[in-house]
Amino acid sequence: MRYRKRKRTGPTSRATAEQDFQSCRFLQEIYLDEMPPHQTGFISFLPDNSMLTFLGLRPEKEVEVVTRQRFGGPLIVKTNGRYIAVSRTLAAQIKVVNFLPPEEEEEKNG
Amino acid sequence: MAETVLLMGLPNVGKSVIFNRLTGLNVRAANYCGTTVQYTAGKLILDNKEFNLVDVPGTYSLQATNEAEAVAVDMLQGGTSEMFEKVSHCEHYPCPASFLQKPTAVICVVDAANMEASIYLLLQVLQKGIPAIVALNRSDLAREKGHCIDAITLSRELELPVVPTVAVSGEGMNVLKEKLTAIIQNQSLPTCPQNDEVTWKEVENICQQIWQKDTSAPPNRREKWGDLLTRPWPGLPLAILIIALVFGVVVGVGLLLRQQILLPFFRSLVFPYIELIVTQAIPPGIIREIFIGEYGFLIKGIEWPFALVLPYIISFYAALSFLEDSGYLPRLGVLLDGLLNRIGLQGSGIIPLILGYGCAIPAILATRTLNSSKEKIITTTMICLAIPCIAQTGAFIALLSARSIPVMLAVFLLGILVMITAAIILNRKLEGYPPEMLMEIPELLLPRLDVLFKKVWLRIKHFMVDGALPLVLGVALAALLYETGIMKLIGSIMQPLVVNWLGLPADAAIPLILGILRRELIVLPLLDMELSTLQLFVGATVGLFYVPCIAVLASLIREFNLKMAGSILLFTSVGAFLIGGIIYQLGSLFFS
Repeated sequence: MRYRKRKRTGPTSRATAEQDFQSCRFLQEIYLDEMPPHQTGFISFLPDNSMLTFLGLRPEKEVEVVTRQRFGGPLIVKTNGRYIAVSRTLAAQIKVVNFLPPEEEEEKNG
Repeated sequence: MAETVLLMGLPNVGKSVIFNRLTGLNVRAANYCGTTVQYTAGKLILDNKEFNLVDVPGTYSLQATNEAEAVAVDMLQGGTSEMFEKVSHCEHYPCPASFLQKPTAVICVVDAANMEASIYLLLQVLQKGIPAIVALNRSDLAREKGHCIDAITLSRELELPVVPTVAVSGEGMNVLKEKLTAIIQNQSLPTCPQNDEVTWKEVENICQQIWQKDTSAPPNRREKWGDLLTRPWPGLPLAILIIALVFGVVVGVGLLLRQQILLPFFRSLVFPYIELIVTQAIPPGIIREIFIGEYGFLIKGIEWPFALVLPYIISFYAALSFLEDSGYLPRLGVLLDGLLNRIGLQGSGIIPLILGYGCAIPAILATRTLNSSKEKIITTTMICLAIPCIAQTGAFIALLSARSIPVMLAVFLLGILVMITAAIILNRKLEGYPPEMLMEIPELLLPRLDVLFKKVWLRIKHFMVDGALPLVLGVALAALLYETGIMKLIGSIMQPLVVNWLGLPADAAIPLILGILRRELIVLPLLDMELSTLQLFVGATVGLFYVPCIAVLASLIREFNLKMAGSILLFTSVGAFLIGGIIYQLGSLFFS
């Protein structure tokens, strides 16, 4: 299920991401273009494109989706304080690990 | 032959600004990646000895994965390269033959706000075994963000001098020169790990030791605005507002300069004296008419370039320099990327298009930063076909603003419409992959006033040398043709095209011939022809789509080949007469 529809959820700040880690919350691996704005994740897979690494998108790096451009334009992601514009096709090849938003997790817990 | 010193670093870290500071030259610098696309050499004096300083276009690595990197590697090794002829820039002192010897030293410009990628490139450069020095540039931005960089540890780790600099204000330049002199004299080679490949692990280790980031610092005002301008909301409405504002400022300030200052100055203070002197010195006849008659080049040759065109050069380049240095243009590119994708371009293609409204030559040069040859061809065609240069825009405003503002807007809109149609057709016809955007958005900066003034001043100087002179010669040629009756002859030969098909007076044949010299020369002679509104529209349309000037054709041959220049020439001349003729034929049905 690559293009699973997801509910938009509120921001996950860095502080809560660390808390999430400590409390062992559910992790999921999704494609970067599926990650909603304001969420952060850690890169787990990158396509073979050296430009990505020069721009700071490397395995295990933290990325935040800042915004998605209209008309099928690029995603703006923030990593290490730098803003990078990544086209949707490229973002659909990058995998990130992030945490399930709380309400979905509650559903899982029953 | 003087020895060579290279200036290397990532894109958009300020190499060209450092180059200008060290050599006293003025190469183009702006706040986005890829402003420098060719190698420029300048004279650098260290301890009374002369060196060639070479400004190398920004690269991310030395793995030679693309043309620019391959040439950079060749330069470091001091080899020859076939591509070199194409990318070197020989306008300034000295001749690029001296580029081809192994450099004596390298100045590595490191971006203090982006350490990791900078160190990665630096380690690769150090492996080449050339004395090196690090300029830790943009250290003011890093300080402002709360980053702390330990230059002393970096210097100790890599065993080479590290000088914190702020190139735009000149901070650290003297220290940089001193230390550079020292490493050249001592020939101190860097001792760095000589393994085959630099790994990101090493880089991250070094960065961890020297770089402390303050992540808790709240974003400052610049960062907040930079972010807002990049989001679709409110970025897109703001983009429309900014473009409208820029258009307003360029036209408004230009008009003000022209109507209130330059025209009154020339018409009341300069021309009466010229006329007085010429009438007294030269007896009535052809020669006097050539000087002060219908196309009198002492009158029109001064009025057209300096009162009608110059004001817009000033207002346009003031606005463009502001946009370039602020870092807004890449943001506009990101916002419009989705739309531009549909005509086969990616967002950053907007930069050459906007540069084209100034002059097509730097715009064509800027297409080098585009990824595919398909994008290059589409952008170049758009620029040559329907983007008027600022001199021609000045002429359009002179021709149309007094008579009919709607016609002026209609001409510009028609230009954009035809340009988009041409791009859509080319996108379908040309083969190539769809464009994919992957770029860093530079920080939003408040441009420095002194830098802006300098850029505008350079443009004025450039126009005086490269623009005004051909224009004056063009007017002199027109005067000669007009007074000797050759113009009438050409007019009657071209009558079927000019009078019957385009509905313009027979005299309009001359501007069509002069237009190849300078684009504004197609438009300016129409000023005195007392045309109807429809004729104005037809004349302006033909002028807009007509062939690029001779200097642009030359740069097309240089950047592409003869075939590309030939097809642009054919495409634009046929297009101009076709569209102009259709407008006249349709218009005359309704308005006669």
